[in-house]
Amino acid sequence: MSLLKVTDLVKHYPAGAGFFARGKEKVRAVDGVSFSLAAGETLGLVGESGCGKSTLGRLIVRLEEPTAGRIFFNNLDITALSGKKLRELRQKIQIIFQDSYSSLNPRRTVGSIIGEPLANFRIGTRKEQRRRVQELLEIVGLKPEHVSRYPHEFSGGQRQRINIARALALHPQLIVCDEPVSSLDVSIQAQILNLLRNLKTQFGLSYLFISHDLAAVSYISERVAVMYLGKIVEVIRSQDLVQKARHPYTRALLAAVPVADPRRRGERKVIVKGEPPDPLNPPAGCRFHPRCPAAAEKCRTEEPPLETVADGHVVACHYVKI
Amino acid sequence: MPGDIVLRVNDLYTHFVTPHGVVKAVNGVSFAVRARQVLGVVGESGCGKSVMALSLLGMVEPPGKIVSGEVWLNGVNLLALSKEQLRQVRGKEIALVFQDPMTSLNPVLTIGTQITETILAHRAVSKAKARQRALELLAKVGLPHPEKLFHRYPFQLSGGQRQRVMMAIGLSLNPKVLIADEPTTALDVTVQAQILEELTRLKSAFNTGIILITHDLGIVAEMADDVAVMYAGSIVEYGPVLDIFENPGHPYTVALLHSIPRLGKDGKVLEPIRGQPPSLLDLPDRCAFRPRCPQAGRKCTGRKPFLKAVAPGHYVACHYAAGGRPAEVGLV
Amino acid sequence: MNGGLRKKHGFPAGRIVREKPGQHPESAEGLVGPALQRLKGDKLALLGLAVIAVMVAVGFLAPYLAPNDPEKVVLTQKLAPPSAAYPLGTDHLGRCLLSRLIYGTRVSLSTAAIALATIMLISIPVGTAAGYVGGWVDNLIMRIIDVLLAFPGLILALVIAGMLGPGLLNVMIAIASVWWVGYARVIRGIVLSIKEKEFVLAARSSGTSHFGIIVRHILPHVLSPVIVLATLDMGSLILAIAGLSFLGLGAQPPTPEWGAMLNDGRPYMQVAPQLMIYPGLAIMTVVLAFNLLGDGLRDALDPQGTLRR
Repeated sequence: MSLLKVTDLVKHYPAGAGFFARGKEKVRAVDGVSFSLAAGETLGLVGESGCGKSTLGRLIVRLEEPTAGRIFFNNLDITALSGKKLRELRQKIQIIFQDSYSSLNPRRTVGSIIGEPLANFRIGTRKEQRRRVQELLEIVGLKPEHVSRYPHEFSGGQRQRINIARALALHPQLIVCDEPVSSLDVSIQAQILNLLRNLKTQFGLSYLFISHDLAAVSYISERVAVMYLGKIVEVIRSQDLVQKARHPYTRALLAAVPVADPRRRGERKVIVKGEPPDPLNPPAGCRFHPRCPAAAEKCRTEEPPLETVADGHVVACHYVKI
Repeated sequence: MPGDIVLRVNDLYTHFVTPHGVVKAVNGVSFAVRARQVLGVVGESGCGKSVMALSLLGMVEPPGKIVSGEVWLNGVNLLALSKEQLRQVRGKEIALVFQDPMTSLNPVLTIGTQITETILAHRAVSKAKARQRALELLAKVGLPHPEKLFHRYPFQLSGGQRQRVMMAIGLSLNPKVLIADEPTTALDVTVQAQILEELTRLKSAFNTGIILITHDLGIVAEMADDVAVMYAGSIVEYGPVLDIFENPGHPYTVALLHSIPRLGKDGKVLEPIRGQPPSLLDLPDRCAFRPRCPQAGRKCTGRKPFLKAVAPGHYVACHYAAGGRPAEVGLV
Repeated sequence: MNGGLRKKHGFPAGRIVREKPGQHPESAEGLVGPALQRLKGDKLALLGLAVIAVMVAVGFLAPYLAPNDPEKVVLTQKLAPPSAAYPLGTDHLGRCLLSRLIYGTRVSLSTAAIALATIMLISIPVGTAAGYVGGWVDNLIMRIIDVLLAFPGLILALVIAGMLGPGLLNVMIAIASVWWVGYARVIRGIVLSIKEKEFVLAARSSGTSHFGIIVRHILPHVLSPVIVLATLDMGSLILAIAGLSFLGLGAQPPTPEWGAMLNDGRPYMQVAPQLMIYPGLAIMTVVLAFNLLGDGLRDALDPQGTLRR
């Protein structure tokens, strides 16, 4: 059974804020995305900047209102939840952001930051909440005596641990991780990735792991979804990613990632030229066609649907079907 | 095929005197760069790699100060030059490309003006000649329609295009050495791949030595001939790229290589380096990696280890590194 | 420029310093302690603070400090030179000039303080509502603000005060009804930027109510810039009130108020310039003191200079 199911999700923003700009053009940040996430699974979501992956994450956490489409959580339609019911949902779905500095209120102590969700839902007495905060600190690898410190007293990696502790406070089922390691140092990234992996087995969590880093995503996820200009173009099992990915964009991404092995130098090839087009007016047909080395006439006019090519492997491309 | 040595750095120290103490950002760094060679400098944020780059150009701002050291370029010690003389050398003999091209380009001048001005400031050529050269450069860094771009402003360009313009400006005077400080960190991977390919092409075309500063071991493996691994203001390991990746000598390099996720090796569990990078404030005269080092032993409480040769051209600064003589100042 | 360079190149000292409490830019606006530490090094700001403290004390202790009743008319003593009984001499009605100045401190400062409090009471909720709720609420409020800003503030205040009739209370109402606009706009801007910060999003996704978000996460960040603005503005507020009183719209005789005193002294400028010089000096001193303190506070609480106007 799927924990999270998203169907035809769309988010358009009006381009240019203000009174007179309304209703003219729109940025198609997320433009018809469907996928599902099983309980206990980690789904990676990769894509380049501006592809809509962060917006998708925020839609799922209900920080943004979708323009169209449906979001189901535990088979419950949560697309339009509001008020009390939305607050209840907040306990089950949490989010961790990339910027560990701006995601902690600089004026509040670590204890009050991690304890805020507990206080919001009046879970336990104050004393119990305090004990739970200390317990959470230990779970994420910090010390209980850190409760009375302020965020600026911690390094980036430690701050990200504080963010994780806050996300864990309410025993969520799903955590959306929006580039959680991207702004950390190389040697610290592995610490956080391993922490997330351990917490997942320890608490039976599911993650939607959003990142631009293919290697990190494939390390932590069971399946990887690749996004391009507001659409998912391929979903594939992580272990198959390198060998079996089919979409030309996925292949281009894989080819572009520098490999930390000097003997394989030269394997990196520039398959695609240029940069992703403006999501303000995406190309007709397949959105990748202007950069695609394999583009043909059909790609310019007809948008390819996501089709299953193998078990757990879907691709949206006219020319890679079996 | 790297050529002659074009830049040699000897025992460079750059310190920042702050109210909290002395920050030893660059703490005794020596290396050399050859023509058409890429020297990869890897390290985490705060390891001093960027300050090192600025020091090479004498561009350290107070409270920072180059305490000692020599930077030899073309038989001239840059650090002994006056400010005016340095300004002449900068851009012409040694150029710097930053991570964020948006803030290094002047937002109110067209791309063309910025390149021609750089040329005119250093070369006695006519405006028309400078313009022609600028157009050539834009084409050389792989930008389509140079005539159109010539009249555009920085904000009208994409991130990748701006970085190419920065490279064009950097190379406009055919410098001996180009320092690229995290040139692709702000870019997407598909764009990064294009920029890196361009850099590789340009080093041969312009006969330039490149110092490529990055935190990304993948980029180093793809691009560098030699690698300097920096930790807490010092080079802890230096050697040919194959040696560094296949036979790393310093525990930090080893740990770093074990801590990065790699595509296609999903079964392997990462081994993070425990703890945090040290503060550069009041660094003791001791191995800075000791608190995080899995192999730290009794010797490590002693004085800071110097680079010593473990193989030809491969140097490691570790008390427990298998190896012989301490490296000569200036290495290579 | 220096700061920019540091950020750009991952300047290591910045990183180190960041680990020190109170040096991180966010904590600088976040914690009052270190900001006060920085203020301690600013001699001019401390001078301003000291002058203001003395003025406030004088205002409070006016009945004990003033040698005479400020409103007592002694026509035989009019325009008298300084003497033991009247240290600064008397005005055209024979009232003790020093006593009137001392009581004037009380009137001028308290009027300005009440006006400021009123301005805050209007601008903080309005600005926060505009920034936080957004949408048509924001549009409506901003358009009202735009319209109000299209008039020159002091003249508008003059018109309102004129319509309400003379009196200190009416002057306060007139000033507050014009002055809140600028604050509301600044507050809206700050709220807009804080609202998008990840810690606010994180609070929302942990089920914090809108009220909780505003009170716990947004208002504390609005406070320090507003304190800076208000301190810098106190001077012009005092000037405006004095100005309206000078025009006869504010304090009514015999209330001792500096602006009104200036007006009273005007006919005697040739024969007894001290009638205008002393209240003028008093206004200048207090305005200067507030500006000095405001500049210092801005440097201490807002080191990035987001409030430079």
